Amino acid sequence: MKLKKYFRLIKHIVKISLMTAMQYKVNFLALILTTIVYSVVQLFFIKYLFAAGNISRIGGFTRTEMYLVYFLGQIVYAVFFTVIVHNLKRVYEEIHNGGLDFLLIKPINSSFAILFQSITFSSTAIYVYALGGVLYLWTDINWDIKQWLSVLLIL
Amino acid sequence: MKQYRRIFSNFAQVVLAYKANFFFTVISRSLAFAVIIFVWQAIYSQTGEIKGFTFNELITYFVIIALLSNLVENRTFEEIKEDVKTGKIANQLILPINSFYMSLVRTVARQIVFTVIFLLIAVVLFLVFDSLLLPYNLVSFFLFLLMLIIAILMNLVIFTLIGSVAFWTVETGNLVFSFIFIMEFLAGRLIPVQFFPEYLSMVVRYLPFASLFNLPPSIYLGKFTSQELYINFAVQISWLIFLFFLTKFVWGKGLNKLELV
Repeated sequence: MKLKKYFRLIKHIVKISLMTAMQYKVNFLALILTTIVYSVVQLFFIKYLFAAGNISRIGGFTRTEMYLVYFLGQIVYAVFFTVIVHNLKRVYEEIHNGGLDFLLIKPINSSFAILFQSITFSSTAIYVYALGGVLYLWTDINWDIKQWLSVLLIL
Repeated sequence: MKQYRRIFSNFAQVVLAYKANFFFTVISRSLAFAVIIFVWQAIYSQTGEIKGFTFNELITYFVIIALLSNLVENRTFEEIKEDVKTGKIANQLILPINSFYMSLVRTVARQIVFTVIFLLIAVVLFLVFDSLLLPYNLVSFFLFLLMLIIAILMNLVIFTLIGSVAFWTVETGNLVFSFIFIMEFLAGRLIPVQFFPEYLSMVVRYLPFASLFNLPPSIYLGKFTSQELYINFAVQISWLIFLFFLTKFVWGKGLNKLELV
């Protein structure tokens, strides 16, 4: 029953956050563009690192594995940023302007109230390209199912 | 001049006011620097020299880059955006000082505080690791200082120019960050420009970004012939003069627009 209430709340929070994001469409698109540009720069960085030294491995990682580590790291970052980091940043403001009191008196778990104030969709692009990148590299990485499951577990 | 000294002093105190924030900024920058060292250490363990750079030269390159990052770290565009957004810019306009120079002075104040701290860290690194190199020769050192001044000024005008966009479109943050990512990469902050493919390396040398990160450490390490040095200085000084007047022009137009509103 309690869980159902929280799922309903999350559904509403997602809906309201999406409406807010869509209100400033140009800013939203610019944010997605920034995320993509940042990633492209990072991928070039990895490419030139290997090309500069004319080497096949760095610290035991091949270039493909390095890309994979980057994409997996981006997925973790995106999950954290979508909910937790984004809302934690607001906590300072809430404490300063007294808004935290209003969150604490809500009839829901206080941690949930703080961490799920809103959801940011700025990481949407990260999910798309990082998952796309992992799928693209899937065939190049000779990992068995156990290794993939370990990675999923760590994620 | 006296009033600008006062502004400088006030903004330097603002940076140091939030001690925990200042402390963690220094720690996070030092950690990011350590990661760079470890990555290059792993690469150099397999190869002796990369495009004319030994490991110690590359470490020196990145120490200078870290120093430059503090010196040219610029939030001018964010401050201008906030000033326009909140209307603070109107308060500045009625003060008997030039708002354009005031914006530059407050940026320089923050940069100098962080640079002094980083210099102390660099001295400790120098004494502990013994892998930092001295300048290639005395001439290189003076040319390095000259290029450092150009880098600081170039950075100020570029970011003030970007910030001036806020006079027309109040929300500038996200597009500006895209520009910064590309600019810093091309300027050799993550990887020396010499390591880029030849065609890209040639193009970057004729852009104003080169002086921001790549040129000062490369000059310090003596990586250019005298002819290349002449060309680099001529290109960067020309860009600096052009961008300074362009920025002043755009700033003036922006203020006019604000006054008309």
